[in-house]
Amino acid sequence: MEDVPAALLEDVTKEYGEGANRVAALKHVNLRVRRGEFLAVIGPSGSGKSTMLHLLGCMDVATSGKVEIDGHPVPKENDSERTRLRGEKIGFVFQSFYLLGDLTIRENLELPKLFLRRREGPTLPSPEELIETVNLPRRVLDRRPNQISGGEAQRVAIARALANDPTILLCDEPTGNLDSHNSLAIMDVFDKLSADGATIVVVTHNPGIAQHAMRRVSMKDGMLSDEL
Amino acid sequence: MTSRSTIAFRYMWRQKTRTGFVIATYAATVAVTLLITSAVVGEENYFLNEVSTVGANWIYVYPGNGNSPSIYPLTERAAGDIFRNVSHVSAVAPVMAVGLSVPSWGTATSEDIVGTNSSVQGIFGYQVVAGAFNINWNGNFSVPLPVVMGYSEWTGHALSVGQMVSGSVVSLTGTGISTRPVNMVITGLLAPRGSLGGTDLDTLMFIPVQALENLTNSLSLTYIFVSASDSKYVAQVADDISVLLLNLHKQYDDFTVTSEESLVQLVQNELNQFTSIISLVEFTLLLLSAMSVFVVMMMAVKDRRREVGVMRAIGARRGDIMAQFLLEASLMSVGGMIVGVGMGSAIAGYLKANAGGFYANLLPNPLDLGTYFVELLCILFAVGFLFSMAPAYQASRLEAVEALRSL
Repeated sequence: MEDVPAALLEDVTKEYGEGANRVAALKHVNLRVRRGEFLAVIGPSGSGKSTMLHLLGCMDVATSGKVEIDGHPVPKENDSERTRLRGEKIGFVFQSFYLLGDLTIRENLELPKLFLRRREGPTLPSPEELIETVNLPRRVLDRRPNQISGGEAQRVAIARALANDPTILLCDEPTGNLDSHNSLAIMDVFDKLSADGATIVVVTHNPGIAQHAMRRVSMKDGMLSDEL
Repeated sequence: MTSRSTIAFRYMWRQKTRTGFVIATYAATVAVTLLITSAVVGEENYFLNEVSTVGANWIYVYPGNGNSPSIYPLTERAAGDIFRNVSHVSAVAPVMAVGLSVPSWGTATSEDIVGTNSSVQGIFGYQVVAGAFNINWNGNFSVPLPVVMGYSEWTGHALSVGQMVSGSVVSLTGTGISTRPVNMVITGLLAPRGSLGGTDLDTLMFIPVQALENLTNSLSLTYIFVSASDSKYVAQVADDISVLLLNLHKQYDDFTVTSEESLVQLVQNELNQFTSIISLVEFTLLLLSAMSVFVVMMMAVKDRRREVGVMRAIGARRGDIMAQFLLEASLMSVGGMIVGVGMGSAIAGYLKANAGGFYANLLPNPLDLGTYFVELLCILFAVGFLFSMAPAYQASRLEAVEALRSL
């Protein structure tokens, strides 16, 4: 089990468009994310960071190459199986939080369980446990997303991403919409999660954020380049 | 625990106008359909009930038939011949009906004056609530005519029951009738019978047929009602009456002989024709409801791409998304149906209690409509569900990446 990576990309290429309009967003990318690793992927806008994150998150499929999550190959044709993998193994944190405004924070945190349909296995964390994990007071649980600050909303989004006890946490520019103070608070949360053994992949173009990661790789023109 | 219904209710609450639109459309459809159906079924029930109170063995004769007009009138003599010469006849009531005004009680009221004999009570099973059904007359206009009155809303307001049967003398006037007032004495008062097809069945007055013949200077009857002694003789009696009348009318087939069964069939055919017209109205309303849910759900899909994207990103399958949208459409349609049933029942109840006339036979309790009521709700639900399938399917086909990227 130790040898099975949390996520694996092998010679992965992702192309969009047809014929002359064909554009390669990822070109022969190889990446191995070890369990418990905190990995930062740095690169300018349009370098393919988010595309790679979507492939890792089973939200998109590679044109060629192999993608594995927790030792499970991500099927290209079977949307239902990809969705199952995503629901069970992946936690997503978006730049714009994407909390559902009609629901309370508590209901937002319960949402992943609604779709998980897990009948056995370890008990999933409660909203109270999740909210404490991201250093927020319990009283926010009964508020609506429009009643909390941006920094709090992103921490709630992280808590929601942890609700299904994921194998890997994928974060797309998690501090992109936050000021420096809130960005630091978010990174404190990631540091804490990493110290507890969580596997985290953060894509960012902010080198300061990347400094918190154990490993940093850079991406340019759809290719992973150096380990930084 | 968050459930699909929590998400559905929260969204519906946020989109109150759209939710209200669908609910209102469904409610209107259900309410209007219930009202129309309540009226038709109410009328049918009333008619069948009336027929059943008359007894099962009657035969109904009237002048003319579908192909030719009346050449020879139906007369009291023909009625007498039927009674005397046709076997298995237990009673015959000649009926001459005219609409006249009865002005004696201060305000003139239009009454159906029925010239007949006392046998009509037995044939139609009229219930007398005061006095007796006695219109036997000696042919002398110098003494008041004995009459039996229906207890209509108007007569009920004009006179008390006691006044009506204690020898009140009223006079009768009208077009085509003698200008001299005719004094009458009310000998009996009928139990109220309500209305049929918008006609108040209680604005009627029975007087001796000879008196009406004299007053109208006509021997032409409107109907002859005949009661067979047993249901097994109805067809035979009807045939024998036809033979007898053909002889009387020099072999001219200028009359119609029909039985209760034929009349029920005739009325039911007419109701069926009416029902096919209202079915068209109901279908139009049904289509409007379905379109309302379709349009609102399409708008919801457009508005909620991000929400769908987020749900897909955190593990919702296509089936989950489809189920979510179908649930919301179903909740709105069911909500509309509940409101519609309440509205329809309340309006029907109000009309029945206050409007009278045609509305008196409405069935405010939807359960009285039996399986039709269940069928209506099932069809409405099914159509709404069907029309929300396309938007729900469209939402379920959204890819998480595309849905999130499109913002």
